[in-house]
This record gives sequence, C-alpha cells and structure tokens, in this order.
Amino acid sequence: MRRSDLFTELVALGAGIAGTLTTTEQASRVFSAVSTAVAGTHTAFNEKFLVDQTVQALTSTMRANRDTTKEQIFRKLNKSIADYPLVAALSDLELYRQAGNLPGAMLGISQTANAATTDAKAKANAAEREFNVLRTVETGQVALNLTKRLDDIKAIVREPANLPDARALALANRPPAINAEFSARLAIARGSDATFTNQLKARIALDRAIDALRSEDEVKAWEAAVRQ
Amino acid sequence: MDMHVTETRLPDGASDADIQARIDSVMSGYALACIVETRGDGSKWLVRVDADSEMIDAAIADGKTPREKFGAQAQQVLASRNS
Repeated sequence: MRRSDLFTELVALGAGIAGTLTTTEQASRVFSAVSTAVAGTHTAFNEKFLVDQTVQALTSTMRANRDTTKEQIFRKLNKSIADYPLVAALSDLELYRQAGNLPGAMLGISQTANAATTDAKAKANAAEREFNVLRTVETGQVALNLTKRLDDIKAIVREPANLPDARALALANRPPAINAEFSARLAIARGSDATFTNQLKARIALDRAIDALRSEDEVKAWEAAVRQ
Repeated sequence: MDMHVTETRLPDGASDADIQARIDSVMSGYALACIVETRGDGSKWLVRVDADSEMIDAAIADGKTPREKFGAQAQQVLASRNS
C-alpha cells in the first residue's frame, strides 16, 4: 500500500475528530469519536490495501505473461524460416503485446485460479478417498473387536466348568443388559415358558442372544456378569 | 417347530481368516448350521440357523444337542436359499 495515501486519509480523519472535540463539555463524545476514528482508519486501510494488492497482482501477471511469451519466441528464433515464418513471428509478437495488457493479465489470473482450483479439488478428492478407506478399515476393526468380545462371553456361557448351571439360569432369567433384539432371540428359545428351568436350554438361548448385544455398555455388563 | 434364520453382515475388509473365525465360533456354539453368503454389492453375510423352543426341548428330551437332532434339516434350509 502507498503509505503517503494512507497518511493523507488518517490526517483527514484526525482533523474531523479534532473538530468534534473543541470543548470539555463534549467529553462524553470522546468515546464515540475515537470509535469513529478506529473504524474509519480500518476501512481506509482495507480499501487501499485491497486496491494496491490487486494492482500489484495484475502487474506481476502482465510481467509473467510477457516473460512466458518472450521465452517461447526466443526458443523459436533458432528455427529455420520454413519452420518459423514471418507470419508466425508477427503472430507471436501480437501475443507478446496482448500478454502485457490488462485483459491478458486478468485472463492469466483466471487461468491460474482455474488450475489451482482443479489441483485443490483433486487433492481434496484424494484426501476424502483416503479418509473413507481408513474409516472403513477402522469401522471393520471395531466390529471385529466387538465380535471377538462376544465370542469370549459365549465361550464362557457354553462351558459349565466356567459358568455353573445355577449361574447360567440366573443370567438367562435376569440378564445384566438387554436390547430389543436380544430379548426377541431369548424369547424364541424360551417359548411359552415363564422362565428358563433347564440349564442347557438357557445356555443355548444365551448363545444366540448374546450375538445381538451392540453397545459398549451392554457388552461390558455381560463381560462383568459372566466373570463374577 | 420352526427354525430361525439370522443374517449378520460381516465387517467390510474382514479377511478370510476373520470370516473362518466367525464360522468356527458359531459352530462351536449351539447353532444348527451356518454359511457365509456374498451379496451382489460385494458385502458378506453370516447366515445362521437356530432352533426354537420346541426343537430345543425335543433335542434335550432325546439327550442330544439341537444340532445333532436337527442339523441335517438346517443344512437343507441353507441349501434351499442358494437354489
């Protein structure tokens, strides 16, 4: 940004504020005046900064475009007249002229932005694909870990040496944690009976129902119950 | 008496060893039979057949496990799904 312009604007703002504060009775207006000064300075700075940055970007693009065209021209100058005739040379000169004007600079910025957009989009898509693959693997691993824990619970439930008959019946009749699917599976095995009275039937029912456990709380409750 | 079929989707990315471990686990329990099916979208499902209350009672009355008594019938149920 050109500092002289900003300085001029700040002086103008300062003069306006000084005029506002000519008497002590107007002290109550100091705060609002200072706020005006800060806000005004901010706006002035932003506008001039953006204009300067835009001009600088256009100028840089013009120079870059001309240098690119210049490079292409010099590379062709080594060619024979047949390969690089006068008409082609004049055409390149016209391109060189256009590269240095405002429309050419704006076109250059647009092309650069488009290329950057395409590149950014490709990178974003690649990152998204990578994330999805990792998430799928992670989700699958969580499911496999849950299944392994349920298998461990069922292995204990099936084996009388690990879970006495009375305990198996108690767990089937008063499960430490249930969900709708668990209850439905248990009910199929229980049939019309009010409670489980046969330990083998209770173990068979639990063997299938435990597969229906899903939440961490449910699994933890069962892990604790079968290991008591 | 009624056999009950339960389908459970296996995790995406589960290896052959993971799937075999699931089958072994189910068959070491009281399921009558089980099979792994691959659907059109590539997903894999564990399908198990279980006995209902009457079948369990009948097996226990005979001094057998439900699979010993009804395993062959359960295999036919699974086979009919793929035919």
